[in-house]
Amino acid sequence: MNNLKYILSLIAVVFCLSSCEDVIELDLDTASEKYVIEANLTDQANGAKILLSKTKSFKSSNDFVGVSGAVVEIEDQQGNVTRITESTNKGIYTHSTLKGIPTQTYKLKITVGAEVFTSTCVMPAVVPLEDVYQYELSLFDGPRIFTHVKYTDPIGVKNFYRFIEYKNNVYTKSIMASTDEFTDGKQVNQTIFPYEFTDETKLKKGDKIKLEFLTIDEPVYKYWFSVDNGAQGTGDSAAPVNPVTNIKGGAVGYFSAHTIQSKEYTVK
Amino acid sequence: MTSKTFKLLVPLLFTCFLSFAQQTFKISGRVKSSDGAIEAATIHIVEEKRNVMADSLGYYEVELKAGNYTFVVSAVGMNTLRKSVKANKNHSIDFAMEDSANKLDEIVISTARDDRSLASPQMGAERLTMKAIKNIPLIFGERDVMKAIQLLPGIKSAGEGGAGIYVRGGSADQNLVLMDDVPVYNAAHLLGFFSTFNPDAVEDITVYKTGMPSQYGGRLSSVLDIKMRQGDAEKFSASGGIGLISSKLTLEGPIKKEKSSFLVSARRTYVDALLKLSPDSTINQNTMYFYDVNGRADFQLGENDKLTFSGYLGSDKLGIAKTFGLSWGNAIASAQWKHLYSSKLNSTTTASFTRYQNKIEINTGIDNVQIYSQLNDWSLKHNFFWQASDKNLIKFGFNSIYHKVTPGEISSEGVSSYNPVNYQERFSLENAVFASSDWQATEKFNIGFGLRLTGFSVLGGGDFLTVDPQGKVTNTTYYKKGEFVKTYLNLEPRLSLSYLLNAQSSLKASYVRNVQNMHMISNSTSSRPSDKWLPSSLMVKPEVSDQFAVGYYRNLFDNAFELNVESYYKTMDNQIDYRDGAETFNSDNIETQLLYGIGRAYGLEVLFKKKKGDFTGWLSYTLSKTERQIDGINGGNWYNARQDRTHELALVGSYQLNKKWSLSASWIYYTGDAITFPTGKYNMDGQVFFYYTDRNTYRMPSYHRLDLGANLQLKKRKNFSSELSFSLYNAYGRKNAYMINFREAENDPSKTEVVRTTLFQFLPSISYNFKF
Repeated sequence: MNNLKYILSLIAVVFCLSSCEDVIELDLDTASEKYVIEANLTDQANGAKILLSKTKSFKSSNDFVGVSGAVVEIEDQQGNVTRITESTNKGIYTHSTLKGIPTQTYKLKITVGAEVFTSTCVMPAVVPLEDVYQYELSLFDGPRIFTHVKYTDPIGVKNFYRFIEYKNNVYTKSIMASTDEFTDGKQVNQTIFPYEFTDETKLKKGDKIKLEFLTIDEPVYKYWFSVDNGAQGTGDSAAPVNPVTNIKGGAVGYFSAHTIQSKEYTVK
Repeated sequence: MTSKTFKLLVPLLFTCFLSFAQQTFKISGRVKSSDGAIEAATIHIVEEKRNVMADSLGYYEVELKAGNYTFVVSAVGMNTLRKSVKANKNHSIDFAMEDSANKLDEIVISTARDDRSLASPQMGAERLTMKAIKNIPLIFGERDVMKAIQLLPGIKSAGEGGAGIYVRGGSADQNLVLMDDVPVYNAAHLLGFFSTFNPDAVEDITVYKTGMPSQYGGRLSSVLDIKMRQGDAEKFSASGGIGLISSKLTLEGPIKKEKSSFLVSARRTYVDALLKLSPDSTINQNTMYFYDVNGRADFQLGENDKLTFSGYLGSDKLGIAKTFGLSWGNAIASAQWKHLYSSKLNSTTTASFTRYQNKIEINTGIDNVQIYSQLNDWSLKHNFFWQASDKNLIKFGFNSIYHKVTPGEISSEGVSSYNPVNYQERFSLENAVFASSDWQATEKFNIGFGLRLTGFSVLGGGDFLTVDPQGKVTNTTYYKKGEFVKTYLNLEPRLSLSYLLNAQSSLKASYVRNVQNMHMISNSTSSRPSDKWLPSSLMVKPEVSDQFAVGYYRNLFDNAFELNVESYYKTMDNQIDYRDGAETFNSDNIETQLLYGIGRAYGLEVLFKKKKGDFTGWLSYTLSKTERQIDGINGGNWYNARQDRTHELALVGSYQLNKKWSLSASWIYYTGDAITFPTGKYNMDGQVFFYYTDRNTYRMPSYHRLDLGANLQLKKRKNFSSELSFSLYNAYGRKNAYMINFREAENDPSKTEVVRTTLFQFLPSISYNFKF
């Protein structure tokens, strides 16, 4: 119940109207480094992209520092292995022609130094994206325009989705994933919630919105779902933990083979 | 009852008949106040160093050897009476007690009854009356019993301004909260900022942290026994209060003079009325309020019978514009019959119903969905109270509860993205028999022992899962409705001992086992209506706790001061938590999302009270440790529970300045909660993610706060009195961290910053209370 989760956090915010925020200093330890893998394979060309980096201390810069020299391979269901090579950007491994085929299973293998990380992911079937449109809802901070996504969930099978919203070509950072547990076989109108309820995140007239619609498999859904347990540094989870990874070998991150469709509109 | 348990119970019931061959006389009678019977009065016979308790209708009886005695009669909120009694024949003496309402020279905290008498083996019990709570600063203009008890040692607040509590390392759902003997499932309003107990309808609260008498059971860490007020059987009166956030009104009076009475009390908050004043249309469309109504009627049927009906209805409503609505609440009804078989034997029979439900409505215009869940209990309790001899008080009885849990229903109207869902309802039957004896073995040595046998039967119908340690379903079995799926039998022994060192001090020790079969699982820090109650099932086993405690008690300076020191060690089995990344909404397979483990808690608690004079108050200090170990969490290693606070200190004082003004102050300090902070970060998804390693190895900043209060008694007229109460919460404006979050620095996105959220700095309140 994606909506439910949002409503509850909204209500917590409403009650805390009299609260105030300030920036404080905290002395935080740094755990030993772990490899971080962000691996995507889509049904489109240029969709194979693997980012390899490491965890770092809280005080260090937020800039991406890639890890070079890894051997990155993707193997398809027929046993064909494709080497994904490092691009000119350090730690970013790409392939310009490799495309996944929906319903096929893919294996990822990354060898870096003495360590080997593996993962398996199914690229789900395509579910047609029917519409992306704006719709106004009144929440506690007044009327606000939300992007809505319309699609018809295939009946009788488990489906998982992810929605990625860009406003004027900038990713809004709102992580939205959903399951058809409650919507099996229905035409769904999914509300895309903002990263946070501030004035800056409000959609305004003239904003160019692009929405990417992904079909993902269950472990990848679980990863995005569990990002909510503190990975973004917010929320009132009693015990923050790392998102549930589908990578074996002790790395942080995920491997997602997904289909992708997108639609754009301009806010009126 | 199996024959085995029967054999165990029989010797208990018939222990310790002591017969005396001396010439004795029977003194009996009744303890009364202007309002009628006094429940739970204690008569101390000075020469005998002995306490006799009057029963719940006020009757007492004592056998004494010929001689002259002094009886000291005490009861909560009443002026203590002293009377010389001559035992030279069998005779009857009644005691008429006077209300001590306007006398503040004695804070009555746990001194009445035998909750903390030096001689009683009962330990770990604290009792607070509404009159005592009057001497503590208000919070949000309310005299909330749940907040007042947080100032006692061993009882920790579940969060800033919250009504939830943690007792001796237990979690928030492990407290048995009873309103006139009926369990209350969600004792909080407005996400925990208020408790469900309307202060005008409450008589007193007794908290048991250990040594729970065996008539109580069903929760691991404490019993909060809240008694509602009886209506005045003499005359009609109305009282009420007007505050910034809430108002309340109480009406009471006789139905038939001196024979029966009623009391109706209602309270409503109007936070939303304040929102409506806002010119901003985005704010004034929101709703946020709660109300509750308490009602009680008491009927004295002749000398030997009393009937009490009581009811409670409360609900919270939160709405965001017209888009989202959330409501939840409790409904409770009970009928209680007290019967006096003789002056030595009486019984209490209680039939009750309790319901907790919540409802979420989403109405976006595209989707109209309702999500609904409910919990119902039907209960019958039958307790006997038998003064077997002067030195032996025996209690026994049984309790049966039928639980029905409706974990979730989704329904939708019109066009909607959602399919209707009905999660399986769960049925269970919880039975208990118990017996206990409080026995004065020698003049100095008292023993209390009891046994409670609980049987929790999981009933069909529906599918029941078996789940392996990885969370995979290994078997699903269907059971027909009413079929017994599994019965958990547990024996809960309770033992307590006290030894009087001298007239001023005593030592006590106790052991208690508790079993819990209704479990609440929650993964948020605040009390939320989405918190889930689960009955024990094939996979969810009963939680069991064992607690050992020792204590030293001393009265000082002619009872003007009191010192209690207690230490405890407690283990907890079958503790439940969510797996990492658990999806909690689907109740049919919730067991695949759970992990089970153990817990331990130990600590030292000190309470030092000044009970007499214009200045009264107390100091409470707790040193404690609380840990959990659950396979699948924190690498299977022990970790600090969230509520593990090493030090906790409370200072409470009140001063009667003159006849009009009384002042009060409280200061609390505690070590910050154990918490998980990131031990690193990484780039992911075009943003910064935080990396976590060990659970709860960090601490929130330490918490401290000063609250001030003042009561002004306004001019009294015939039949009308009123007072103004002022308070200031967090008087020096300490920025206590409610939440700590991490984000990209606003002025430099390449850096990360730590953001502290603070609630309630300098929160003043004023309320006006009247009675006529």
